[in-house]
Amino acid sequence: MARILDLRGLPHPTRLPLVFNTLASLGKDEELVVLVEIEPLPLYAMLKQKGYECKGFKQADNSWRVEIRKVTG
Amino acid sequence: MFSVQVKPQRLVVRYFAVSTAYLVIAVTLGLLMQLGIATYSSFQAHVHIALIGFVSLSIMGAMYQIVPTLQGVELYNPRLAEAQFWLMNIGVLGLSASFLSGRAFVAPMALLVALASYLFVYIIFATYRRAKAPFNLTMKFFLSALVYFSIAIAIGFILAASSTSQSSLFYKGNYLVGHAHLALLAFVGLTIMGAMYQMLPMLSLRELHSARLGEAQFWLSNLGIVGFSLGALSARKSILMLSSVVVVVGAYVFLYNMYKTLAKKGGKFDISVKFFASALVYFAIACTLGVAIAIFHKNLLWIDGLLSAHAHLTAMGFVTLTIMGAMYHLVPMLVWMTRYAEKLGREPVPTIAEMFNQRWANIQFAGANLGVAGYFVGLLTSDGLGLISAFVFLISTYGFAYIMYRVMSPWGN
Repeated sequence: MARILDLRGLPHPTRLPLVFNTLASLGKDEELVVLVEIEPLPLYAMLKQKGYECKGFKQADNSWRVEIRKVTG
Repeated sequence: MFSVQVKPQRLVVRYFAVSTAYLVIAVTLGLLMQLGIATYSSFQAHVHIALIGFVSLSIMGAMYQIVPTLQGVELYNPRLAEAQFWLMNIGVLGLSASFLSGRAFVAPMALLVALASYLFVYIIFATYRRAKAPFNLTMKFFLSALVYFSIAIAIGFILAASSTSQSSLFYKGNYLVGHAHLALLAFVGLTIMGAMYQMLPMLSLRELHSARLGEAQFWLSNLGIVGFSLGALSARKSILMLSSVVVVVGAYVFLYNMYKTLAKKGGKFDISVKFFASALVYFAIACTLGVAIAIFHKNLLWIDGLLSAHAHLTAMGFVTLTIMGAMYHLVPMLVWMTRYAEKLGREPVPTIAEMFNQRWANIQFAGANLGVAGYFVGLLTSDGLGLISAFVFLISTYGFAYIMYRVMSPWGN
């Protein structure tokens, strides 16, 4: 099951805490889908460091959909 | 065996902490010079504390953060990077003290700075080589900037080692022009352009206007820089003039790309983007003035302070304001990640926006701009405006340092 977090239009400094807050509240089998305007390379690096795996997909309207899940095992 | 775990993010914050201290010292020394308490030796200390201490250390910290992020890898050997941090600081402090005390240890300290700088270049190239990621536009700018940096350091060391008196430096005027422009124009300029291609779209939440134009500008700027450096080192004025035009055309293409990006529809500019936008305006003026100096220098040099106005607009307006803008983003983000990310869900943590007072940051932004613009006009008109503006810039710099140290301090928020 995926929870969607649409960050488009939100100020930049509010985004990182929102993503990590939402990740902290996810259920065991839940994953997070984040929607943003620009490919979030720094976010990928931080998620990897904190034990998450993520994949970014460019959408038809040039925005990005990032799928994030906790690495298990 | 005893081993020390070095966390790259903490190292990056430490780089910014000391580079901010060097900025405060350099600006304070600059104001003392403006008040007439300065000598030639404090001029050299002022320049090197500003450009090596503040600018180079900020760039090193930023690259230790941005290069692994862009390449999707870990920083190569963080312990070596930690050693490089200490070597570099001993070198910068030693070099500055030497300039202030009759150039006693200039050559050995310049050697230390050179070794630490080459170690930094090695760590960045080694980090880059770890990655399987495609050759990103920002990385192209960074890697070429590091090549010029390596050459600028070698020339700087030759200048330091072969100069025992102040006057002999002037006889090496061509090398000095070559050294200064390779360091400031090629290393710092290309690094900032590379960083802006990444950070400006990301922080303004607007897609880059044209990556292809960015590619073309990369080659154009490199062509101009190689020509300019050869022209300066060989004292061929025709090459110097022609290549300075190419450099400026490259700069205008970059500025156009940034302008078109910012002009797109999107959210409000945050504090970092405001700093970037004003820095770009100063860059446009400094470039135009630079090419005018290169072409019409015989007719223009009589204008008192023109060269100083060009140098300060570039260093204060373009470079310092860009670095301040980048630090308003990077420092709170890194501190938040290292201090608060783990505590989420367990105790209340501030958001990144709450880590510093936005209104004070905007006042500091206004002060910095008043200082830069006033100082530039003051240098050209030679009235008391220069002194007042230098003071305004100093206060704004102290304000910036206060904001940054509060963010970094465990008791600050």
